[in-house]
Amino acid sequence: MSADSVVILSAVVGLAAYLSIHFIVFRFLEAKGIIQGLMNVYFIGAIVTIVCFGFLSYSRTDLITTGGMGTTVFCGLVSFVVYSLMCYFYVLYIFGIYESSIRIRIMREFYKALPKGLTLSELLACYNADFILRTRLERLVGSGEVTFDGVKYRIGKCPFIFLMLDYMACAIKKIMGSR
Amino acid sequence: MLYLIISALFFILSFLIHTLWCRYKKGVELHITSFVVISVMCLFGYFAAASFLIPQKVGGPGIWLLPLEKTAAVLYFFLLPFYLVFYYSTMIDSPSRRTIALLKERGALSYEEISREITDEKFIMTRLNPLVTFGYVHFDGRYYRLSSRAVLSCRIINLYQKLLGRKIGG
Repeated sequence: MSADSVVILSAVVGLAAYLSIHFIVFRFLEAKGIIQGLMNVYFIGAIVTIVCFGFLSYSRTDLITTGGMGTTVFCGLVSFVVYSLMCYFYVLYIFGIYESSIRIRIMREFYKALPKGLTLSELLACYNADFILRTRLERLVGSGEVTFDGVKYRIGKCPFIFLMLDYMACAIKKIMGSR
Repeated sequence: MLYLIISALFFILSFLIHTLWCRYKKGVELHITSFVVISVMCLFGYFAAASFLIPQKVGGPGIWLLPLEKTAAVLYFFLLPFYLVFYYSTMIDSPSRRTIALLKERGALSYEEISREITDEKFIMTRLNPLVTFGYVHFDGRYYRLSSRAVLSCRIINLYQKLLGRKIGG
């Protein structure tokens, strides 16, 4: 087995472990525990990736004997990066869309009302900005990025993901000219 | 390592070409399809460069000539959606991001104060109108109805919900 195959296979096994645990654990998670749950499952999958890489590089290739320890560690890191990007893809483009996309939820409300459809006021009676805000705040408070003292909401621990998103979006806007 | 560097360079190239394309087009709409086309062309460019530029003696000792051609292509493939998230967020505001921005700007806010900024007009209508424009939802002046392709999407999402065992998202 080539180094290429070992790196990709380890990442895929890590992702498979991630998805298996994700599908079991997330049945029981409330909205407030989602972000922490995603992180915990990600770390378990990362450990599986590293263990699988270690096993495959030791038993199925001569990576350690010919390449040396430095090369093996480097390939392990690459495998970890591939695994992380796969998880990122799944969370943002599949799970994230299901869990928090406003467009998808609107479409699903219309789907429930088939074949008649819904008027705007009927749609807003079952899905509206108030519902969106309550769900988001519950999630943000649960992850610790926002704190709530019973009256006011405040920034909690550094909301790194949102700040990074803002920073990158501003940078891309500047690079692309005034959009 | 050489393969990884070449794939990273082609990723940067696809980003630069897309940036130039967006600057040239000037409009406010998202150019996602053009980015997909550009990045597929750059992926072919990577394979061509990897075949011609890298010496034949790959697989020798050391990190530089490690034969990671497919790994570099996989990395390239997964870097594309990584960039698209940031590109998409230049145009579309999310309620979570807006809430964080408000709290960062004003310190402490009550639920009512935040809800003045998270309105149906800003977060429902801005999603509903494009769905009608792009043909996912038909509007006859009173009722909104799903188009057939949107029905298919909803069936797939329902299947995913069954697999996941969670209540409806949104």
